[in-house]
Amino acid sequence: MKRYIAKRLLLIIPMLIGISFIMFTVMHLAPGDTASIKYGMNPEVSGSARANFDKMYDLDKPVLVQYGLWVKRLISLDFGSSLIDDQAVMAKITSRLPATLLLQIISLFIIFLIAVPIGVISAVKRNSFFDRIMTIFVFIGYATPSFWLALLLILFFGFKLGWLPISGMSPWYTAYLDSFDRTKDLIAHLVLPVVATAFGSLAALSRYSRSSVIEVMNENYVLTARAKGLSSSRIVTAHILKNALLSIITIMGLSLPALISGSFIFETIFAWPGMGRLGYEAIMNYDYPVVMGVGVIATFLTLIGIFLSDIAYAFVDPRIRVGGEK
Amino acid sequence: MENILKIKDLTVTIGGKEVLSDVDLTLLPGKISAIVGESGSGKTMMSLAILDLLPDVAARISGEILFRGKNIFDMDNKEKQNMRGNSISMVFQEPFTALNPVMRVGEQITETIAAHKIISEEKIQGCLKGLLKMVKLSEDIASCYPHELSGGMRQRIMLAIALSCDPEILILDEPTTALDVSVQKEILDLVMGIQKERCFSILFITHDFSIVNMVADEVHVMKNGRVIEKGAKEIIFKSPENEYTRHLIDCIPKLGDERERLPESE
Repeated sequence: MKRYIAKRLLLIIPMLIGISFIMFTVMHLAPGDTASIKYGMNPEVSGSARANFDKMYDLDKPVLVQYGLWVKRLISLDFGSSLIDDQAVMAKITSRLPATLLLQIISLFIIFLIAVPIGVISAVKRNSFFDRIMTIFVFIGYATPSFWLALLLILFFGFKLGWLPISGMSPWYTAYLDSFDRTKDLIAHLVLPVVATAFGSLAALSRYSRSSVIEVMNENYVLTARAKGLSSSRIVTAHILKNALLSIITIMGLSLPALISGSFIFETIFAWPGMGRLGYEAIMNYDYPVVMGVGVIATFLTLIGIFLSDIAYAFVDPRIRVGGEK
Repeated sequence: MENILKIKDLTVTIGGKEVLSDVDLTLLPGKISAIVGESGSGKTMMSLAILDLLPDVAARISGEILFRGKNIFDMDNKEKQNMRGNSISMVFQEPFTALNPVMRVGEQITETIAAHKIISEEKIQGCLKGLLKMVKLSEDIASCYPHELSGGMRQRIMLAIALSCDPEILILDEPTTALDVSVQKEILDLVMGIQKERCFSILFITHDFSIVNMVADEVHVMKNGRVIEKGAKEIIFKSPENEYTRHLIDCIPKLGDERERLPESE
């Protein structure tokens, strides 16, 4: 088990290198450059000044060389600083990361809390009214573009009904509130981004839970459990659920990339001061060090998430935890 | 003698195909009835039907299965639960898949007791020890997961589960088919030993006439979902009426002391 964990952890390094290389190349393939964004049409900035800017940040060198230089700096954990405002990338990210983690962890929690019970009930009461309604819901969930849903949510709950704030996380006035009201305000700001983030994955995961529960229900040991005369609630909780959880945990790990990439979209739509929005702005500004910094951190978080789900898998499955198959 | 289980005109259709046709069977207390037939003859369907465990979406059932005079198809869920694992219990063919891979085998035994008897946790643990001893396993096996045990050990666990509530009928569905020959013999001897002591009835499902010869009092030969011949073992073995039965009996490997073993098992 210790070797398994060590192996999995070491595997993260080559994956990070590969993914960061692809990101770096793709980013430089895009037409446009930082200097034109930063100085725009400013007639005061001459062509040679722009060339100097490129030279100063090694932007005139071939992409491969630039990547090499970037990796060299990264080894000493130096992510560089923003080409636009000269702030350290690490400082920018650490100031934004908590907001993203807050949003993502709550979304993940809600997805799990709602999708798994829906899936289990649909599977146990297959073809029931509930199951049919949920099938429709899942189709809608799959088919709805979530950025569009986000806009509809803003329109309906924000403007029409005026129930919920539509953007930001902690506006200026929260500084004047006591901690209870501040939490209340934060929750209100969280509702729409969380719903938008969770919606798509909710549909996918509930469908997946349903099929993995149905798969387990056809296993021989479930027949054994029924033949023992156990109550159906005992069969579901003690025998079916634990086995079905094995594959659900894996899917949870694999759904992390979708969540992280979704954060780029939803944080921008909801003006959420998180890492996704930072990344989005950096991309629009050709702010290469920031894009790479956000990319690497997002990749790292995803890989760690998948790693944790693997560990959780091993923890639930005694066949991995306790010795080898005989 | 009054019968303990009586199957009358049982017909089961699954997905438009008749897997059991007009099956009649009577099981007497303390007796061992064998159901013999090749795979696909409907043996397993019958054993599942007795516990009403056939897939309820697909199966259409007619006929009666009377346990102590009561039709099990008339029972409500509660009564059926009380019957399963308690009055009638079952050991399946595949010990490798019949146990829950993520639950310790001890708990898989005790949960059966807990489901049927209202007794203290302490007493349940006592029962567990007794059962493990009965199936000749050491006590510390209880904390193992199924994948840590061999096929024979897993089948002993299955047996311990099946016998945990002192059933009146034990259904053995090819209990030794998945095991190698030496382990087969151990398991059979074990079951027969316990049966002699406790005198429950056994419905022994197998394709192997040599096993029938060793264990059964009565024999039912099945083919294509029908019982084509039945009677006391001695009669069936001496003068099988049906061509198919004769064919199955001829399949017994006649090696070494097979002939000397025949009278011994009577």
